[in-house]
Amino acid sequence: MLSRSALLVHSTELALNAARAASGAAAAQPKKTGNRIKTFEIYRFNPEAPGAKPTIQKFDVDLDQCGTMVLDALIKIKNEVDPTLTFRRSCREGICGSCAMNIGGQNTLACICKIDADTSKSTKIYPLPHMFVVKDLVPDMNLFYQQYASIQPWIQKKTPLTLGEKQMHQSVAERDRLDGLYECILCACCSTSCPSYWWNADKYLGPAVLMQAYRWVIDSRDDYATERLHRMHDSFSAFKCHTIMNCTKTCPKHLNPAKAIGEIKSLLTGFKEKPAAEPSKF
Amino acid sequence: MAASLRHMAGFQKAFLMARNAPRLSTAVRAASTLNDGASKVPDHSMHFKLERLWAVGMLPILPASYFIHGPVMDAVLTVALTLHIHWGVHGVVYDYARPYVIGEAAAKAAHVGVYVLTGLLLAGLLHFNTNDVGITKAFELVFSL
Repeated sequence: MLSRSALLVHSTELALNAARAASGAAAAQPKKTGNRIKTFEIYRFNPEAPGAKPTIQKFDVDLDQCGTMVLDALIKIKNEVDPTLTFRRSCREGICGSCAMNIGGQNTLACICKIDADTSKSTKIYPLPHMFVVKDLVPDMNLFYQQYASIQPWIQKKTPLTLGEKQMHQSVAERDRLDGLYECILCACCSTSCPSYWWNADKYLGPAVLMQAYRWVIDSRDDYATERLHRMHDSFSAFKCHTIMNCTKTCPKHLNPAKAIGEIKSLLTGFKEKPAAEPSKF
Repeated sequence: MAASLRHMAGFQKAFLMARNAPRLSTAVRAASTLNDGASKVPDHSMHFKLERLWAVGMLPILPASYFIHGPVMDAVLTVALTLHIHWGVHGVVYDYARPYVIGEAAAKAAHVGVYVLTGLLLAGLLHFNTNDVGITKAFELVFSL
């Protein structure tokens, strides 16, 4: 209880500091001096302020006093300059996908994106493009998650089975087919870099979700590939991909969603077929 | 507001789909997902395939039309180009003339406009082929300048 109230006091203090900094605007912020002062231009939007419009706010960070990644700089700014700066972060090692944002014109994860050491240029940080913004760098991911749910991302069997009774056998070759697909962390960098997804997000599933759809279609243990494919054989869900390749270019995990979509198109048009599952040897 | 309504429709559809699907719990039942309406979604794959095959088929026609001139080549070019351009422009209209951006009525007009344009293109090319020199001959004249 004591520690919690102490924490409260601390956060009120921080908020007060922020209010002071905000009211004083840029003029009150002391000009930093040092050898490696890097300017970050960060997208700010506070929906709670009446009539709020998005603005760009500049922050100077001494790179000698800061970690190497953009997320380090963001955390430093939030801790020391402006606690109202809002962004998602969690694992700080590129496995959770929380800190996906547009840094220097490229969608990537702030935690695995090195700060450009060229201090003569500022680094611009925006939320993921073409998403509704909740606050500052936090985009609304609801549609993305609903689309992910719509592809039913779990194994579905036609034969009854009891979990724990026996293993669902998969050969080495069958397992290999999932490599490059299952590693996706659903950070949405690819989907939000795709012009087709920008224009038709309501009907086109987007590269991240399509790659996961393919991951379940091609899984040898899943029995519902046909139904999965039928769910997206309309003119938008998968076919709105124009092979622009932004998804593959931007993927912070170096995966290839464009290839997966190509495979989906091959399966849908009958150029390829899902290989039959190898019979279990156990 | 319009945006959030559009979103809501998407959520609801996805949510219903996800809710009706079989779930993985300890005892997995064999349940069909065939009845979730997925199979009733209009199938675009045949159209997509035809579009690609058409484009591939045009690859030899275009260079060939440089060497082979005459009414037959004119007719082949007319049909090939008209359909190819129609599908291409329709794709562009689908992407950029969305109801969300330009309004419901204008979007509908744009879609009708594509068919009008395609009709005009076909009529124009056919007219040019029958009552004038024809496409291949016209290029011959242009190149001889």
